[in-house]
Amino acid sequence: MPLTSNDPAAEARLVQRAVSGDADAFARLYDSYADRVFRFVAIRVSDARLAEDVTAQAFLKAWENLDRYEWRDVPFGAWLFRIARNLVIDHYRTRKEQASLDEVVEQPAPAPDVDAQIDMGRMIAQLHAAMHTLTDDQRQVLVMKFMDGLTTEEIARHMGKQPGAIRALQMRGLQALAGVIDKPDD
Amino acid sequence: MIDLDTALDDCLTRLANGTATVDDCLRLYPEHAAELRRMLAAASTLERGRAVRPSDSFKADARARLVAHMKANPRRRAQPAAAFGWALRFGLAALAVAIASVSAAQAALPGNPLYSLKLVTESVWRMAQPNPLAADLALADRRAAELAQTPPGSPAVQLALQGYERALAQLARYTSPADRATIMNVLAAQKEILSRVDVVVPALEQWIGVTPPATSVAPTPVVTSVPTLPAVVLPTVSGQPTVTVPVLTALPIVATRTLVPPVIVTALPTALPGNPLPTPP
Repeated sequence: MPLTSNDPAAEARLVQRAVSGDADAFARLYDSYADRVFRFVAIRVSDARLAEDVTAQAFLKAWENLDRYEWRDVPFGAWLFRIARNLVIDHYRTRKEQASLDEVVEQPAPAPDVDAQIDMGRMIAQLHAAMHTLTDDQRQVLVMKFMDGLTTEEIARHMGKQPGAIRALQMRGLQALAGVIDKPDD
Repeated sequence: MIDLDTALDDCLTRLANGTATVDDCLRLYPEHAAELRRMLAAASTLERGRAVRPSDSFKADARARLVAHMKANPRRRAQPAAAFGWALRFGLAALAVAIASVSAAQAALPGNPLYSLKLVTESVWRMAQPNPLAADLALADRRAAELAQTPPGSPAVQLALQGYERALAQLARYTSPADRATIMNVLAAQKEILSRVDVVVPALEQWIGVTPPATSVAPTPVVTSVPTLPAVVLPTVSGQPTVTVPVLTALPIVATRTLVPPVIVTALPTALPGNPLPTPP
């Protein structure tokens, strides 16, 4: 049965077992987070295959670095997303993109020509393009809220922020997104 | 008036729960209706993203690779509490062994495996003493007591004698009349003790100016029938650990063959209460 973010105590127990070396526990965490990590990455790289590679790498890296994880500092999901985000940045660094690091994070990747004929790739690209004007925090809040289905309180816990700050990020993100959608040329 | 971000969050929650429609929300917050309509429309666009998910084949394949990687690279993180517990237990055990060894060494006589440890702890103690003469006299007392306790005829007698002679040689460094007077008093007491167990040490005789007759000077000490010594615990002096030393005053006098004139004996200075000399460890 997949773990849900509504049961942080159960997740904490699984993480504790994984930290102690329990591979089965970590595999269950993978089952719980694989979709969300993939979505988190896909919105940033606009390439389904690359998103799959980065997602797989994120879990391997998490397993190898579990010693450094402390539950009291940050929720496991947030720690996992941070690893995924760093891998995305590393990917673009390796490719020696001319764009600055901020642009990599904040701007859309090159046109989604690789997966243009694949529905999933097209959808990822459209979402990616729609969200490129958002800050990383706004994008993370909107992805968690509308794609992962988390509540405001759960997002606040994951991001280490107050619910009021999440509501503000959500509002500004949706305002920016509405501005993009309203433009007829876009 | 409710803030726009709060109104938006409330509307999104109601829509997610199915307890309200978009129109219901706009009626609920008429002051924000225009802005809410645009944002709720953007939110509905985003919800299409829920369809963004990895393929089942990728998930299964990545999971299999992850499990294989975990089996090939198992994590063996030591439990900090357990590791600390073991380290603590080991450390305490080692400390207990060290304390027991040092304590046992204080009663060791020449020839005993712990005797070297006794000498090492004495050297450390000696370096920490503010009064070198008092320390050297206390150590000379110890050597004298060891010589008196060493069973006659055993190979350890020679070792004990050499140790005592080294202690006497240390005293030669003190040349002032006051120091010499102090030394002579202590050595006289030691001579008496050794005489009670029929031990003659030529170097000691020379120190105190009693030169035995030529015919009675033996090349090595003559030791006969040293009785087993009772022991008492002395009070700690200046932070030093309590030491067990023999009380020579309780000894019966057993003189069987003596080459020097007998001398009246009292006791080792360090063995007496109120002794001004420091007590070695």
